[in-house]
Amino acid sequence: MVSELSKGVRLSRELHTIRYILKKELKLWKRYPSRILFILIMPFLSILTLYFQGMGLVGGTQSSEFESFAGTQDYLVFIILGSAVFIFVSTAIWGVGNSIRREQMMGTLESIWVTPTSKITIFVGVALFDGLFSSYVAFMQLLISSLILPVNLIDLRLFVIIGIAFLLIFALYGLGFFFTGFVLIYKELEDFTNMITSAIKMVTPVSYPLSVLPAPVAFIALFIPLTYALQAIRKYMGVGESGSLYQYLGLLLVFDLIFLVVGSLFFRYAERSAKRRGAIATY
Amino acid sequence: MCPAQLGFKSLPRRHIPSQKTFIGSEAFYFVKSGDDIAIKTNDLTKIFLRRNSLMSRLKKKKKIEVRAVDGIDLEVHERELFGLLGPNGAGKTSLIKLLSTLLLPDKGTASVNGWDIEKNSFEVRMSIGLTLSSERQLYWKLSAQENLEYFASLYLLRPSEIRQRVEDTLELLGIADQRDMLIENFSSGNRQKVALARALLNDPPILFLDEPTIGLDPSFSKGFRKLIKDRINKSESKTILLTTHYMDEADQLCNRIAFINEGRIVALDTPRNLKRSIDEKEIITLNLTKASDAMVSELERLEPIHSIERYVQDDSNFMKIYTDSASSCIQDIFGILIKHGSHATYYRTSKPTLEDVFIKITGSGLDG
Repeated sequence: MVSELSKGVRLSRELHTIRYILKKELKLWKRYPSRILFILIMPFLSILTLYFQGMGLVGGTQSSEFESFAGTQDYLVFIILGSAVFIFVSTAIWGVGNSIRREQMMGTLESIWVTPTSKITIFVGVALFDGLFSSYVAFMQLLISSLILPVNLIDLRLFVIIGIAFLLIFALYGLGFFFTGFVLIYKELEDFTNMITSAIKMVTPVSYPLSVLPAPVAFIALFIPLTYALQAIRKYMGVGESGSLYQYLGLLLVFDLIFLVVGSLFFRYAERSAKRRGAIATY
Repeated sequence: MCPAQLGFKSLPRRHIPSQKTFIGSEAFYFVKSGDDIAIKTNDLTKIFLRRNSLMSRLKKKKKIEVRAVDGIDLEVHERELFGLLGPNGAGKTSLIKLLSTLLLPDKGTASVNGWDIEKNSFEVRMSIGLTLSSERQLYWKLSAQENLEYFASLYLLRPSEIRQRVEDTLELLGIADQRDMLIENFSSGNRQKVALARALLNDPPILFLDEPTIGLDPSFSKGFRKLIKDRINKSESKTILLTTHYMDEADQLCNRIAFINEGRIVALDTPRNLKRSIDEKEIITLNLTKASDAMVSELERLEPIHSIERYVQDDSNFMKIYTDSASSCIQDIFGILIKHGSHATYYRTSKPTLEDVFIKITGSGLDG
């Protein structure tokens, strides 16, 4: 009876802990005013870059040339959707692992690690904060596009886009687990995350359809859940993609779970290895 | 001020049957055994493999084994203030990290508050508070209150009680008036107090304090030691395992002390008994320009001298001469030094201290 009771109470307290993690992250974030400027300006910069890139490459927001391999003329909507969803992946790769790295560098990681709170709770709290941050940036990108560019992405379809992007969450947690484990073992994250972020962006249909990639490279994309999230969103929005929406969603869930399981197993291995080597707080 | 006055739950730990027991909802308090052993280790060993340079790895040289903790057997009683005294790199911090589940042992077992450190790491972490020697163990961009509220949530305190508990610990440590100040604006000493407050948030029966006064000025250290001894150990009835390389700190604070050197416990007793273990009544400490074997042999032949220890500290040659009477042999000693072309740049006579005992046992000083 005792252990069951304690488990129930523990779960309820851990849920409250997530709230405190969010509060702490927000307070730390607010103590650096330059960050506020960054998130106000960044969505404008990224969207305008995509717009001007389109103007330079296809002479506007539509292109019949683009339709020949993407299945849609709507070049700008195609890449805005890709960019907005990729923010979630990019934040998952950079966010949680780097936040653990920051705790290492600040000297607070051991103080956290020695508390009874589950590492999963800490991880979920930080990832949730990053998720909210990503959602804000993605929403702002879509809003800015609809307000100042000749596209309309702010309507009821937005809820479906958010819903499909939300299905990516397990894969994102899997990636977060993986990169946190990586920090615990190898410490330096920047070069590796840069490489992985670029690699994922290159092999998945973020900025172009899979059909432009050489077959072996496009094959790799089939094992990355982001591919299916993008294809499902574009299918729903009617911008390219010839497959079935439900098939995309099914594959997304399958690879979500694979990422989650592999990521969490690697994290468990990495934590144990770091505790064996005394490397949790080393630089 | 007793725990009840502070609003802390009274947490009985003795006379409880040997079984898993959940006491109170306030702090998830777990107690397993009814004996009075708070910490127990059995042949506890931690080996680190030192990484070789790239060239050595290419030559397939074996990694170097460092036995940070080497077969330690230890029992610390409830409410005891126990000191681990040893030079830097002796294994004190590694031992504390093993006991607080931050490291996994390579061999041996250990229990904290009756819980096995490997099998019951959650219960161990519920039973302990830890302060580390690093100054940067708090968020410098958060205030004391914000830091403590966050850590209180990590210690799984009931949300409705977090604010009160934070208030109580700030009051206990005398820093309540600075609750809204950012940690970066605190003095080193008060930062250490906030770290101690954090370790007390969950009202743990056992505290691990790793070099609690390192880097603090002497007058603050004195007050801080009094706080640890009188308020935390005596009034709050906490078992404290403290590491230090300051012999005065260990001497003033600890009920018992273990000397630790190269990962091993080389002596363990009360400070008084450790000092008594030296038979000689006086010690002459000399800092010499040089010390030859011939000179030492001649000194050893002087009648009142029992033994001589030579050691190097801060690149200087030191010699400790253990004698029944310093005044009866000091002239002869200086005569022998001059005869061998040496002289003392510093000397003093003293009663045996813990450091003398340590040097006699290990042949090296506490400063490494």
